[in-house]
Formats: sequence, C-alpha cells, structure tokens
Amino acid sequence: MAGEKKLDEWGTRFGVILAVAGSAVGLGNFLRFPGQAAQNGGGAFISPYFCALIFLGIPIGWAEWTMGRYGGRKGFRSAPAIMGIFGRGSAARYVGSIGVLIPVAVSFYYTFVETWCLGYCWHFLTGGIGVNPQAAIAEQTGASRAFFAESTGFGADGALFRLHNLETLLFFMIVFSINISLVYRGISKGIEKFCSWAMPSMAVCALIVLIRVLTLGTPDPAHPDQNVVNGLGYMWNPNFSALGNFRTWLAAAGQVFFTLSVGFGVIINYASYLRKKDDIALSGLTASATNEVFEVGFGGMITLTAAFIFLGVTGTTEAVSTGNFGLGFQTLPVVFAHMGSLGNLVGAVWFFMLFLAAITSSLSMYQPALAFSQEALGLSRKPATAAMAGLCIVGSFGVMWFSKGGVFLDTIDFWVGSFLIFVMAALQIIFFSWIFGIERGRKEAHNGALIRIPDVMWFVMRYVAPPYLIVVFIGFCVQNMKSSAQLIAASTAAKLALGLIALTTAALLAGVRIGEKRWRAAGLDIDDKIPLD
Amino acid sequence: MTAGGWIFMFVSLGIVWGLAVWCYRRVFVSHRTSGNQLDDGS
Repeated sequence: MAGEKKLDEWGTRFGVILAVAGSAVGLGNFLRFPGQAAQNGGGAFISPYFCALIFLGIPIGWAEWTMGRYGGRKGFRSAPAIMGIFGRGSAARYVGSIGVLIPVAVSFYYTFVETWCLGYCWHFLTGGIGVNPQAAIAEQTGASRAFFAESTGFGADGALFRLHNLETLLFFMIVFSINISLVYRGISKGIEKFCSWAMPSMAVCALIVLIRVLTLGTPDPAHPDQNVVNGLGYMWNPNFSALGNFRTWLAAAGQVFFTLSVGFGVIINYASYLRKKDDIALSGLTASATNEVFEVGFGGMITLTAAFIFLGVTGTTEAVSTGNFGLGFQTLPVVFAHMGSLGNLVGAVWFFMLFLAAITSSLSMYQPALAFSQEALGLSRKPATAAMAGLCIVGSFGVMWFSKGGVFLDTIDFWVGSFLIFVMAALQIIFFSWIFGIERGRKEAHNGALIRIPDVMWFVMRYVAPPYLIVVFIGFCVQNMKSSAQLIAASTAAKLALGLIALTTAALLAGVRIGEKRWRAAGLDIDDKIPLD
Repeated sequence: MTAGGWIFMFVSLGIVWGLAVWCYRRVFVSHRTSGNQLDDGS
C-alpha cells in the first residue's frame, strides 16, 4: 500500500512542470496556432492572443492548480470530488464529472491522431509517403491526400479494419499500450519520468526542423518570391483591420484556452499530487511559458513558413483552409518531399516531434480517469487501469470504425473537446473565486510559493475572467452551434458519437454516486466543512 | 515581410522566450537553494 502511495506522487519540481507543460503542448501548438493567426490578422493576432493569455489562460490556470493542490490535501485526486469541495455540495460533484469526461472522451480520438503521427514518422523513416516532387503539384497533393485517407480511414467507415489495411490498427495498439503502461507505472515512475525526457527531446526536434526551415533560402529560382523572409511575412505581417472584428478576439481567446489545457480536468488532477508546501505559483507560470515557447516560438515560425516556401500564397492559403489535419498531414508531407535528400529525415523528425507532443498530452488524459476509478470505486491500481483501458479502447475503436470524413471524431471534438471545456473552466473559476472565496484562494495559492502572484491577478480572477469567458463562450456558441446541430441531424455517425458521450457520462455519474456514498461512509470532509489552513 | 511583421515577430518571440527564461531561472535558483525534490510533508 505504501508502494502504491509512492506511485501517486511527483518526484521533482521540474517533473511536475514538464508533465503539465507536456499535457498542454500538443498538435494544436504546431498546427492550429499558425492557422488561426494567419486567418485572423497575422502578427496583429498576437495582441488579442496575449490579452487572452493574461486575462484568461494564466489566471484560470493558477486557480486550477490551487484547486487541485487543496483537493489533494483533503485526500482527493479526481475533478468530481475536488469540484464538490469548491462548489460545496453534491451538485458540484456531479457537474465535476465533466472534468473526467473531457480527458476520457478526448482520448478516444486523440490516441488515434497520435497513431497517425507515429505512422507518418515510420513511413518517412522508411522512404516517404509516395509523393513525387517532380510531378505536377496537383498530383503531389493528390498522392498525399490518398495516403492520408488510407491511413486514417477517412474514405469509408470500417476501412481500417479490412485485412489489407491493418497497419493503422497495429500502430494504434502500439501507441495505446505505451500509454497504458506508462500510466500504470504511476505519476513519478511513469508520467514524470517519460515527460522528463520527452519534453527536452521535443524541443530538440523542433529546433532541428526550425533550423532546416530557416536555412531553406529560395529553393526554387523560378519562384524567387517564395523564400524564407516572405514565408515568415505570411505568418507575421499584421493586418490591423482584423482587430476590429469580434471573430479575431474570439479565435485568440479560444486558441489560448485550448492550448493551455485549462478547464480540461488535467491540471486539477496533476496538482492534487502536490503537497502543502510545494510551489504552484511559479510552476503554473513556467508550464504556461513552456507551452508558449512551443506555440509561438516554434509553431509560429515553422509550419506556415515551410508551406509558403514550396507552395506560395495560394497553396498555403488553401492548406490553412483545410484545417489542422489538412495542413499537418496532407500539406506538410508535400513540403518535406521538396526538401531534397534530407526531406524524409526532416519529415521523420517533424512527425516524431508531433508524436511526442501528442503522447505527453494523451498520458494526461488517461490519468484523471484512472484516479477517478480508484477514488470513486475503491479499486486498486490494476483493476482501475483495466477498467479505464477498457472504456478508452471501446471509445477509440468507435472513432476508428466510424472514420468516414472524420465526422464521429469531429463531433466528440466539438461537444467535449471545445464546448464542455468552456463549461468546465467557467464552473472552476466561479467556484474558486465566488464560492471558495478569492481571499482563501490567494492564501492557499501562496503556500510554499516561489513567486508572489500579483494582486491585480486576483481581481482578474474574480471580476474579469468569468465575464470574459462567458462572452467568448456565447460567441463560440453563436458561431458554431447551428452548423453542429445540422451535422447531428444529417449524420448517423454524429448521432452515434453523441450516444457514446452520453453513455460515458452516465457511467461517470454512476461513479460519482458510488464515490459520494463511499466518501461519506469513510467520514471524509467532502463539502469542505472544516477548511484547511 | 513588412517592418510591422518583423516588429510583431521579434516582440512576440521576445515575450515568450523572455518569460520562459525568467521562469526557468527562478526554478533553477530554487533548485540550487532548496533542491529539486518536492516537499516531503515533514
């Protein structure tokens, strides 16, 4: 039992920071951020982006770290129990199940996307994906799209389960096994140890690709305008008129929000393994800063610059319009094919980096569910891991079977990976600043703190972040709800995805009910009637 | 690349790298003074 307890503790300060940063750094840093910036004012996008970082991302992040550590001191690890403490009651515990639903349901498709990254890395190491740089550009993009459709099953439902096309399934089993074995090893021996080498390795990979891209010069003398400087200009030239558009501010807030993993249910769980005198103020800020280096420092410099140099304005704009997957898995492979003899190696390094970014995130998605099943159902580590793995593999197989057009995946991404994150973050910041109390929150956050959180940030947490978040949430709903509702009405896959979300929610709510009874019977202070100092 | 593009790029990179370096320096300093190990509860 003592050994099991030791598994559930962080070992070092760097370990916690790198694990939280690893959770935040994902594919969105390299693919979503540059696309959002280019579509919303280029360099000018950075102004609303940093506003959202200061007034939304960092303060909510600090609140979540504080909630997690306080909940941990009360003996809880899972979002439902911790939300119950901060919201003081059963209702808060039940809505807190969103903090387990989000990571679990997102893992259903995220591990699948992680599989693509490993598969692409393997193919680039072994000769590329069949794009001929001498052919016409339409033929090259056609080959890249065909490879993407085959490896993701986007062409037809069940395509990945046909006997001649089992490669993706094989890669999935490898990726899933790595994830489960690392989570099973525990916080310090599994997640922390892995992130401690994966994060620096990811930075080295990003640096290699960045240097290669910035030294490309003008590779095609027939197109002298397609060079590195103009590629950077495509991403960074400011269009100030975009700042007058609400959509730009919405896109910036959404990007900050998703990139930092706030409202995801992960930070609250990770921070619960900290102790009273462990710093959270500097650790939270450092994890966010690390994420920003990967997003702005690498993502903002590599992706679109590389695409522009080989595809020009029209090709890059088309690539951005195809979304994150189109840019990352259809366009960039074409770009790597044009990089000459080193192209395949650069491609392999790029996709290995994406794989590391994805796996450090997916690990953080499994851990909250594992903690919840241990805590609520009273299971020991082995059966809890088995229960969590069973649920996740069913969900992931659903995503992989209903793969046509990515509708099933997109539906989970929209309703859980976007909509519910807003809901969870809003609940967290309201519980923290209005029910738990900002003064208690401030005192708790500064226990063992290595830096002092500026006074203005407490004002921001109470009066600025909640309305800011609500406005962004309303804007998000207005912008997306209609099309999403139409998709559900028209698509069976979308309906099935919602059914899967509903079943998972029902299982989690049942878990909360069982857990609540157990915690009360054990005499735990689940409603925070005796505040800790 | 316009002058505005260069300015936005360098200011943004300066902010994110500057913040990260500042944070990690503080973490390293605390590591030197009190060790990288987290509080053992004693």
